[in-house]
Amino acid sequence: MNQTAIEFSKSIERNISDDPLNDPNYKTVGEVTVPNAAMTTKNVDVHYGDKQAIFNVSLDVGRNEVLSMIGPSGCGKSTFIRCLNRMNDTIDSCRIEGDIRLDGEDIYSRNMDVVLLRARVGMVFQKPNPFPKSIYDNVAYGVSLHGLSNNKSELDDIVEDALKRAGLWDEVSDRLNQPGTGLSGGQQQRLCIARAIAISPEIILMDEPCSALDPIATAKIEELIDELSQRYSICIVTHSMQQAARVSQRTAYFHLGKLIEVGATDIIFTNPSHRLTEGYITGRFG
Amino acid sequence: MNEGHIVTRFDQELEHLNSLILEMGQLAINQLTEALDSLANEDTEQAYNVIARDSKLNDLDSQSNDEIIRLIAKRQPVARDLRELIAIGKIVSDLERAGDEARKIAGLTIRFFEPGNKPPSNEILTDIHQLAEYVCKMLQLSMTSFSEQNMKTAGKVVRRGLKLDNQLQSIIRRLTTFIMEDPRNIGHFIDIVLGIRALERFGGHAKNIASHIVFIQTGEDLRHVADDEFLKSIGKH
Repeated sequence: MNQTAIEFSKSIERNISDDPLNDPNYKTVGEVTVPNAAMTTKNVDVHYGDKQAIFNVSLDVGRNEVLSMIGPSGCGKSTFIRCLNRMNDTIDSCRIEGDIRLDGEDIYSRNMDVVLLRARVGMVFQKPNPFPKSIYDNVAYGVSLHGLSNNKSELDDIVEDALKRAGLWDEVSDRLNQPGTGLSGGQQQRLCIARAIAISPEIILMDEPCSALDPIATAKIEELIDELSQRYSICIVTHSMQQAARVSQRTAYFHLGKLIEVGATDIIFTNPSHRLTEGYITGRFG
Repeated sequence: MNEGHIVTRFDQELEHLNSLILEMGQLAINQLTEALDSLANEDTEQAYNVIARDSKLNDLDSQSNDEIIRLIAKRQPVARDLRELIAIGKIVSDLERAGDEARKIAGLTIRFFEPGNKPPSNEILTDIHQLAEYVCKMLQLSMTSFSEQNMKTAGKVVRRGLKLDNQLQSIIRRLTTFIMEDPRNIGHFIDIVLGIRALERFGGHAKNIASHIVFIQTGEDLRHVADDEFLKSIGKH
């Protein structure tokens, strides 16, 4: 029985407090806040023109945690993650309300330098998008742009360190001057991660980072995510529930623009509280 | 959650596994019933048949385990599906062991009524029959609870378990009196006590299965809690 999310929602028995579709005051199941959060979001609404894409979402990103966001297509998880470094600013019709703070600082305030914000909250996309430059320049570009090195030798060190932390150094150290676009898909994605971490972000956002990669390259990225979480907070949007289960400590389940449930990944994947979460992760709708 | 999976083949595989479990449950119940018949009819041939048929339960045990491993590897279940597969693995073990206990009752028939052996008086066999009927009903209820995924029925199994403890105590008291009255038949009494112990274990497996049903439904592990706490937990859902 192949069902859409809406059909599934209508089919299950529940009372109004359990009904995210019809309850305008629906309250997320689970603890949305964490102590000493790197980023906090409160009551976030997002509209694309007249259409509302995100409804009253509050969710904190903890320090050094991997937070995965899952949900059916169109549930708003990518829209939400793109609010966290103002990537939605580039869409004219997009309107964002609510409170989003990085280390207590309102990222939508007039004083916020968006370029600096995106350095502090880096992003890795679905499809690897290296610049049409050499491997070295791909990593060095952001560092130079933000003036994070004083001389060439310091820049060399930063590039080497970033490539090492991205697990790519051993594979590219002898061909740093070759184009980044000549690398394999998995290597390109790790190059993009190296590029993001070279400028020492606090948070790395990953929007389906492995969906264009083969299983081995995916495993390398997942291993990398685990290592990177020692130093950074990571938010990952993924369609692969197994990936969310493997890499994250907390999981947030989105459904039709609402944050249905959030909790420890171990609990979400063994005993979720909300029937929509259960229905989605067990493959009863999607 | 009764809604089917998008991958309907997974539902079919789960249904197939469930049917294996129900078959095992029915077989374990039949084994105990036949073992009792053999005891009542003093029919050693029937008792040997019960013992021989135990291998069928062992085969179903292996088959179900293979199926569970295959499903975990192939479908990577999570949440209720994962709990269901893990719990079914345990239910399978309980049913296989329940079958072993039934085999022990068939063993009593052979020990008592094999030509050349001295049969016990009917009086001391009464308890075995009553107790067996009682624990058989417990397993029947457990299997109903499994097929309907009904926690209320699982609760009935636990309630019967509470009464079972009382029954056991009164049986042991009565047997002690018999032993004191006629110590020459102590060998029979020991066999009867072992038989009662086997039936108590049979009921214990039925109770375990009831706790596995609750685990599937709620994720709560109630195997090691007191019966009244078990019933209280069920009441919450």
